[in-house]
Amino acid sequence: MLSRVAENLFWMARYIERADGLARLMDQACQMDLEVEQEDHLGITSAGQGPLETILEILACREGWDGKPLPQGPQAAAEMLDFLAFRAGGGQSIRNMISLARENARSTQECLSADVWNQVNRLHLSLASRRSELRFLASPARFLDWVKRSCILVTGLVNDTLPRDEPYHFLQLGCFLERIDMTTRILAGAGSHALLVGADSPSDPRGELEEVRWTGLLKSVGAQDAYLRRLGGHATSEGTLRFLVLEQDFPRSLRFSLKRCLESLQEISGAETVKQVSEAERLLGRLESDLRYLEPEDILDRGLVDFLGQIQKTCSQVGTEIVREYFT
Amino acid sequence: MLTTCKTQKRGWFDGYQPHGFDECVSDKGGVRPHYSELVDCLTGILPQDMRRRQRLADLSMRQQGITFTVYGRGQGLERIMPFDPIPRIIPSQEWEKVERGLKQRVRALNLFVHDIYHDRKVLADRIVPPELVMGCTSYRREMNGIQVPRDIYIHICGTDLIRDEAGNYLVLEDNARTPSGVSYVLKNRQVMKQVFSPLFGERPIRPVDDYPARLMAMLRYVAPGGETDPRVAVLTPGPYNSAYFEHSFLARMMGVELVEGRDLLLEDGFLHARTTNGLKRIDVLYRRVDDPFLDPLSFRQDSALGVPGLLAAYRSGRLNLANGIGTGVADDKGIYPFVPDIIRYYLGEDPILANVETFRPLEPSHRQHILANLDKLVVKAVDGSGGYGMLIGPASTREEREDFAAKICANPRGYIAQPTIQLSQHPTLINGRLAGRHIDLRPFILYGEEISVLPGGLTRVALPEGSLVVNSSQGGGSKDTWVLS
Repeated sequence: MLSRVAENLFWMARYIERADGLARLMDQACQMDLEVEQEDHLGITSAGQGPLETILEILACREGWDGKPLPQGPQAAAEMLDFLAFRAGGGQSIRNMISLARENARSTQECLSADVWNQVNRLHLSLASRRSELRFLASPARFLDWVKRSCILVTGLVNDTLPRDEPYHFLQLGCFLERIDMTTRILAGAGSHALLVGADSPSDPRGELEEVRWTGLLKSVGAQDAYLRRLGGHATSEGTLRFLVLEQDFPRSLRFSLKRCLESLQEISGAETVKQVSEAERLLGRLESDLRYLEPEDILDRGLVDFLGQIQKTCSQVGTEIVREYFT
Repeated sequence: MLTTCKTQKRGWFDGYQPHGFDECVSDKGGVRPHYSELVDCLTGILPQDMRRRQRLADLSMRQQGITFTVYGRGQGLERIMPFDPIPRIIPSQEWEKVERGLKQRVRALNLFVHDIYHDRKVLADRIVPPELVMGCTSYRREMNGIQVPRDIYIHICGTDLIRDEAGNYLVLEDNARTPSGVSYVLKNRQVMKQVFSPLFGERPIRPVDDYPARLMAMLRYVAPGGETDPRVAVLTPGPYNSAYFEHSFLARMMGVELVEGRDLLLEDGFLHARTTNGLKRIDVLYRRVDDPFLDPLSFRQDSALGVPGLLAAYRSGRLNLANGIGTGVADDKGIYPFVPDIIRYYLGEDPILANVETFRPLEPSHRQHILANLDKLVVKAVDGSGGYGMLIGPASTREEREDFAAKICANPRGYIAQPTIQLSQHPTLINGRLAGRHIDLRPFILYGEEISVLPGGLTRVALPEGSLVVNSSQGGGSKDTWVLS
C-alpha cells in the first residue's frame, strides 16, 4: 500500500486510541476530584497536585496550558476539564484528537471500510459542534462515556469490517503503540507520587492512600473488574504492575500490547528469516521477551520510573524505525 | 387537470407556477404521463414527512462526508450539496435520442483532438479557424505528433445539456478535461432508495451502480502497450480539493489506490508509487489534476500537485492518462460554436443534439450585436468554468455590463455570448411545497472499447427562485435522475 496512506492509518488509530485513553483518564479524575474534596484526610491533595493536573502532566501539556499558570479556585476543575475536552490544540484535547484522526481517515477512505470512515466522521462532526459542549456541561461523566463508546465502536468496526491485510495491521500498530505509550505515562504519573508514600509510610498508616491511588489507576485504564477477578482483594503496587505491565492476557497490559504490535509488524514485513527482521521488530521483540520473565519486585528494584522511561524510549525508537522503514 | 391536483394531491401543487418548459406539468396544466406515477406516490406522503426525510437525507450525506469545499469564504469550508428529493424523470425514447447525440458528439470531438495534434486537416480545410485553436489556453503543443493508446483522448466526458422553451435538448458546454459530479449521481440514487423509498413506483428505473465497473474496464482497456494486467490509480490534488470526496469514492469503488503527486516518482522512465513494500509501477492514471499542474518540469513550475517527468513517461507511451493531455481544445468555449461543423466534417452526419446559438466577438457583426444587447445575453469567459467569470445580462447592473463591454473589446478571443435561455423548470421541494426551479443535466460518457453513456446523469437545480445558475459553487443543488427502461 502507499506509504502516505500507511502513515495516515497509523496516526488515525493512534489519535482514536489517545482520545479513548484521555476520556477514561478524565472520567476517573472527575470522580477522584469529588472524593478528594470529601476525603481530604487521606492527604491526596497534600501530594501537591490533583488528578486533573496529573493528566496535564501525563499529556505533557502542563506547560502548554495556554501559557498561563494553572487555574485556581472553585472553577479550576471545570476550566481544566473544558480545556482537555475541547480547547487544547496540538492533539491534546479530545476534540482535537478526533479531528486529527478524521483528517487522517479522510485521505485513506479507499483503504477503510465505509463503516469505519462514517463512524470517525460522525464522531468528529458531533465533537466539533457547539451541542457537544452543552452535553459535556450537562454531565461530564455521560459525555466521557459516550466518547469512550464511540471510540470503541471505531475499533470494533475496524476489527469486524477490515480484512487482515496491511491497512489493518498499520491500524493495529498505531493503536497498540499508542496504548503502550499512554499506559506507561499513566503508570509513571501515578508511580512517581504514590511510590514515594510506601505502604508503611507514617502519612498513610492503613495503606488507604495507596489503595485509592492504585484502584483509581486501574479504573482509569478500564482494568478494575478484570483485576479483581484475576488477583482479588486489594489493589497494591505489586498487583497493579503484574496486571498492567506483565499480564499476557489482558488487552490493556503492556505485554499484551507489545505482542500485538510485534505480530502486526511481522505481518507487515513478512520476514521469514532472522536476517530479514526489521530494526523495529528487533527492538520490540527484545522488550517483549524481557517482560516475559520479570516479576513485579524486579521492576520495583530497577525503579519504576526508570523502568517505564526505558519502555518509552524503546517505543519512540520503534516509532522512528517505522517511519524510516515504511513511511518514507 | 391541475385543479384536480389541487384537491386530490394534498396541495402539493398549490400555488405551483408553470413557467417556460416544465418537465412535469404540460402547457395545458396536466401532469405529463411519465410523471403521473410519481405524483401519485407523492400524494400518499404528508409534507411534514417529506421534510423529515429531507433532513435525514442531509444528515446521511454529511455523515458519509459527501461534501465539497467552497472557495473564497475562508479555508476548508465543507458543505453538502443540497439534495432535492423530487426526481427528474426521462422517458426511454427521449433518452435514447440524447444518448445517440452524446455518443456522436464525443466521437467527433475525439477525432478533432487527434487531428489537431497530428494532421490538422480540419484547420487546412478551414472548418475551424487555426488562430482559435492555437490561441486556446488549453492547447498543448507538447502533444503534437504523440501517439496515445487506441487514439482515445477524451475517455470521460461530462456534457452539459439544457432544454429550451420547446423542450429541445441543447448542448450548453462540453467538459472534456476532468468533469466532476458522477459520485453525486450514485450517491443521490443510494440516498433516494434509503430515505425516499415511497416515491419509487412500479416502473423500472435504469440502474447507475455499474459506473465504477465500467470506468475501471475503460481504464484497463486504454493501458499502454497492450499491458494485460495494468495497474490503475486515481490521481487527486488532495483532501483540500473541492471534489476530493468524488476522487476517494471512485478509487474505493474501483478498488484502486488514490494517489497524490507526492506519492509518485519516475524511475526507469516509468511512473511509480511509493509503497510500504518499495516502488510499484502505475500504468494508467485516472487523473483529476488539470494539465498545467501535472508536471512541474513541463508546465507550471510552482505546481506541488504533479510529478516531475510525468509528461515524458506519457509521451513515450510508458504511461497513459485519462483524460489525455490537451483535450481542452475540444471543450474550449471559443471552439464550441464550431462543434456542429466538426461533427459534420468528421462523421458526415448532422448533429443530433443542437448547440445554443452563440455569438463570437471576434466577428465584427457579432461583436456589434453583443455590445448592443448585453442586457439580454449571457457572456462567458472562454476559459472559465463553474459559473465563475460570467455575465447574466438580464440580472446584471449597468457597471457590470460596462465592465464586460470593456473586457470584450480588449480581448474578443476571450469571450462568447449566448441568448439567455430560460432552462427548463422542475418541481422542487421548497419550504414543504413544490415550486418550479431551473435545472440542467450533466450526463457522463465513457469512451473505451465502446462509447457508453451513464443513464441519466447529474441533474443540477438552481434553488433560488428564478435563478439560472445551477453550479454547486454558486448555491445549486442536485436531484436524482431516473431514466425509465
